[in-house]
Amino acid sequence: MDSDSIDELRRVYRNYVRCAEIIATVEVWFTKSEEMASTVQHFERFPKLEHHEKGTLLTPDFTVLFNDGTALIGEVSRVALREESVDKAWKQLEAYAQVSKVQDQTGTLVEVSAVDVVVIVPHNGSMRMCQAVAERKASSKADNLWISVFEWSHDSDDNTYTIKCPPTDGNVAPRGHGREPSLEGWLTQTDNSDGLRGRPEHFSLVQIERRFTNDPIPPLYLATILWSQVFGDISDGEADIKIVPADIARRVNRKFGKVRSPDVKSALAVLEQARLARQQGSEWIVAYRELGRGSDSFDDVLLQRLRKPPSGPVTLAERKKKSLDRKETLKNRALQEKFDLPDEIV
Amino acid sequence: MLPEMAQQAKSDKVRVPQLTVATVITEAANPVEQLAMRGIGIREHRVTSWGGLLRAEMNRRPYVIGLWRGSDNVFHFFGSPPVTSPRWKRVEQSWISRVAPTMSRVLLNQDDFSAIGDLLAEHGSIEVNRMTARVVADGSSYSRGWPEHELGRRPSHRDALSEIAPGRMTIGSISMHVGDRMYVHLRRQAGATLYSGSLALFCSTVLARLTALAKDRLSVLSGVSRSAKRPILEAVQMSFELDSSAVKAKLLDGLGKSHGVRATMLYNDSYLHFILTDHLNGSNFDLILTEDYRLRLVPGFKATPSSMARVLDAIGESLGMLSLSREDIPEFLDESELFAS
Repeated sequence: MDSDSIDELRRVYRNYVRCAEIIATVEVWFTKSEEMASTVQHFERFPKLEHHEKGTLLTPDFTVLFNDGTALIGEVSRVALREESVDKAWKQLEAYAQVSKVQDQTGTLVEVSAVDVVVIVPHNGSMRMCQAVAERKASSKADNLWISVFEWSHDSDDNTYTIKCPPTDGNVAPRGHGREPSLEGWLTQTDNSDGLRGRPEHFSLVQIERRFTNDPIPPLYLATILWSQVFGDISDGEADIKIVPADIARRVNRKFGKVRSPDVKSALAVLEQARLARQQGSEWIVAYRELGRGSDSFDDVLLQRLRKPPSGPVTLAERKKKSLDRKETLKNRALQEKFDLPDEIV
Repeated sequence: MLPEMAQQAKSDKVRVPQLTVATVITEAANPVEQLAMRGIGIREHRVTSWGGLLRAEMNRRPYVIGLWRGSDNVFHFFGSPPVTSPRWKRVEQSWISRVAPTMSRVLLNQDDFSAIGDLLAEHGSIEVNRMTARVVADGSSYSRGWPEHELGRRPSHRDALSEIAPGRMTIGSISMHVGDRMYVHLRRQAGATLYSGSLALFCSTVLARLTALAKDRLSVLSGVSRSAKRPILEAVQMSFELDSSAVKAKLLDGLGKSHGVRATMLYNDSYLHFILTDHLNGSNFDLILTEDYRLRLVPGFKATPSSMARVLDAIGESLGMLSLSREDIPEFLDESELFAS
């Protein structure tokens, strides 16, 4: 694989992780604070909503169904949006703000009396976002759109996130609808002008419980989860494991968070590029084993193999066969007598 | 069994040779059969009510190693070969790894050494004549010897241990006299040798304590389970003194010395988060470093206690582990944790 493609794989992985950590932070707010959690009926990590007119599928990053029948719909962005993307983002937010149903704990879509939308963008793009939201809200045909912009920043010293609601261009917090506590309440408390916090000691646990978000999963990330956690469940020790993507997706869905078959196939394709798996029709064979030395971490080994795929057979069965073939060849060679041709053939 | 043996030897007027002991925790109720099948050089085995006996051969010379149940899933290998002899090394290095991951060692930390010393001090004054340790940062060794001389007592265990900076050094072993009743050697990879003295006292103090420590370790690691429907409420935490920036390298270094375990790092530019996979049985764990000097280990859906023990010992050795304990994770946080100010 060329280094540009590898860099792209890594970039997608990094962006995804930032979003996942912020979503996990929001989940901590709504589910790990006892008082806030008491106002929440259901926090959904993998929302599937319906567009109010077209009926098409909408997949925001999270939804919160409150006990009072109102809802919060949220979207996280890793990258400050360029001008071209702002329109697309607006259309999404406008659609979310007009949704009439969100999911409850059984997954059923239930009617809600009001919807508040929040979009969480990097702090260096929040001013532009606030401006864009204010302008487009004013010129939108729909009324009663409640869309808030939050900004996030990350401290690389302690890996903590700070999330604030900037007051630019009339930006306001999501409505609390009289709930106590509410995000509105938390953000307007005078001693909370520094915003809300996401600490790794809290969100790391949510990350373990739900490894994925509603977005397509970076193939490099899913490949490492499959190798380090999922395949070990299926086989202990070295083995060629036969994989059907849909089965793996089901297995992962039960325990780790929603994945789809196409996500699994992309991850398997990465393993194939690293010559750790081979596709056979609709199935895959994964040559599952310990790689490298104990002091090598799998993520490093995978990248090395992508940069320079090793030659030779892929599956353990093929390697064994090659080794046996070679032994047999050597044995035969040793058994053969020296072949002496006469100088002249009469 | 061993305490009875002590009495029997006394009444039969048989002098008990030195006794070497190594403590293990096991998954099997009695691992003797498993050892007999997989251990190199084992010619015969006998399963008994208290454990069993293994007759092995090295260079055509036979020797017997016993396995004594200290408590459920805690056993002690015992025999007369010295700990440095190839016959004993084969037990500790080869036999145990061949039945991994269902059997694993237990690591003693500095507090454990102090506690055993304190217990022995009740039976006679402690004089340490040798101590070994290792510097965590660079792996260099530290060795101290105190010869006997008329001018004064050799240091007590507490005096000697005070030279070891916890977290920055890890104690390896101590040899000490307990009055005139015993001369013993105590080792970090839970084990001991009775060089001379009362076998009965050795069993009631050192062995009993090693059993208790192994039992404790087993209870920290057992029953820490994950369920898909519940949030994570339990973890194991390890404290150490190493700087956070050095943790990744030391962790991988430690895993390099253990057999069959591999790490995968998630999230390159975030807090340190690894998944550890035991390829011998598919067990896996999440290992997280979110605060200085404290690692959190969260077992995966498949995670056996002895796999966890193996992994934690390898990492603990490398990081200079201070303590290992069960952590209950609260279901709810204080609101103040969520605000930036």
